[in-house]
Amino acid sequence: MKPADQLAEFVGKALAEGRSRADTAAALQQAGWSIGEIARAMAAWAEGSFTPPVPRPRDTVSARDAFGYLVLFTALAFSIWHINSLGFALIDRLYENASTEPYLSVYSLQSLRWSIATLVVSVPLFLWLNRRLALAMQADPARRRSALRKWFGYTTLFLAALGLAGDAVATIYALLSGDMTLQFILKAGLVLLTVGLVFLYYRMETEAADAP
Amino acid sequence: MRREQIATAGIGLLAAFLVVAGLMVVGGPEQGRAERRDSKRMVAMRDYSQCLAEIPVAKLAASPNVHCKDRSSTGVDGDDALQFELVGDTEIRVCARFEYPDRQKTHLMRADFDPATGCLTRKQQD
Repeated sequence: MKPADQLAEFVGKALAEGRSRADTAAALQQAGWSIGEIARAMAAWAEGSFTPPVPRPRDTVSARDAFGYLVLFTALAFSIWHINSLGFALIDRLYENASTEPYLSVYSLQSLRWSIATLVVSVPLFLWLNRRLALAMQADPARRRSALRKWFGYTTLFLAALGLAGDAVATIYALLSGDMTLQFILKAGLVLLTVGLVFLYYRMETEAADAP
Repeated sequence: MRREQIATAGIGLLAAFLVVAGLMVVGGPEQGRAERRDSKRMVAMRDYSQCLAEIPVAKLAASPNVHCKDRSSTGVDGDDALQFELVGDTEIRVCARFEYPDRQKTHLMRADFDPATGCLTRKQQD
């Protein structure tokens, strides 16, 4: 049994025996549990005078959720990667001039085609799955408590945060190196825009998932 | 509109815009087929020029077609057949008709390829 489960079980027993929440919290604090741990353990039981104490709904894990969120996460990751890859290639194409080697070689065209093909599949898949999961959550609010939804949400937020930090580092480096060209600014802006959209999407997702 | 909807709509619109812009650059299937034909011509041109470069100039001037394997075996013939000419005493120039010659510049890293003429110039080996 995890310490958090052990603690929640103890709180449930204490409340069932008629101890007040304040007394139970004081006893736990005295035993060395942190205020956050105690608050989470208390939150596992609904407030009220009903005995035995009524448990609040807890996070769930199911194979169906794992499949849905894994495909959604992968489709989003592919979409964002190839939006940037395609965007970078098009920006390079826009600023290609006679003084530089032609960027649009056979290989870069093949890369453009891969990105287009990937986006044509991954973006509709992401939008469709997102819509499907949203409708499923509307029909059954219990699906909002999916632990996997939180994990994928926070993993994506972590990657988005890394992307934003990397973009900021690259921009400052370019500024210091004197390479702050319009071409570079457009690329950095594209990364900022895509990562910002992901951040917006998953911030909302994780806020909803964390709501009691 | 909710934040989640703004984010998903943003991702969808951005991807749609880039896909349309990308398709305008890479073209459709016919352009892809033309590039593949060009790629085949470039490989044939490289092999043919490699073969010619190893033959003394005097021998080439006397009978240019018999020293290398038949040009049709390179996979390009008819209107696409490779042409070669001697440039002075030390260089040969092999030419082909490319559909997108500008895009061959970086193909196979050929600095000796001239997109304007569709020709590859090589020094004869000693």
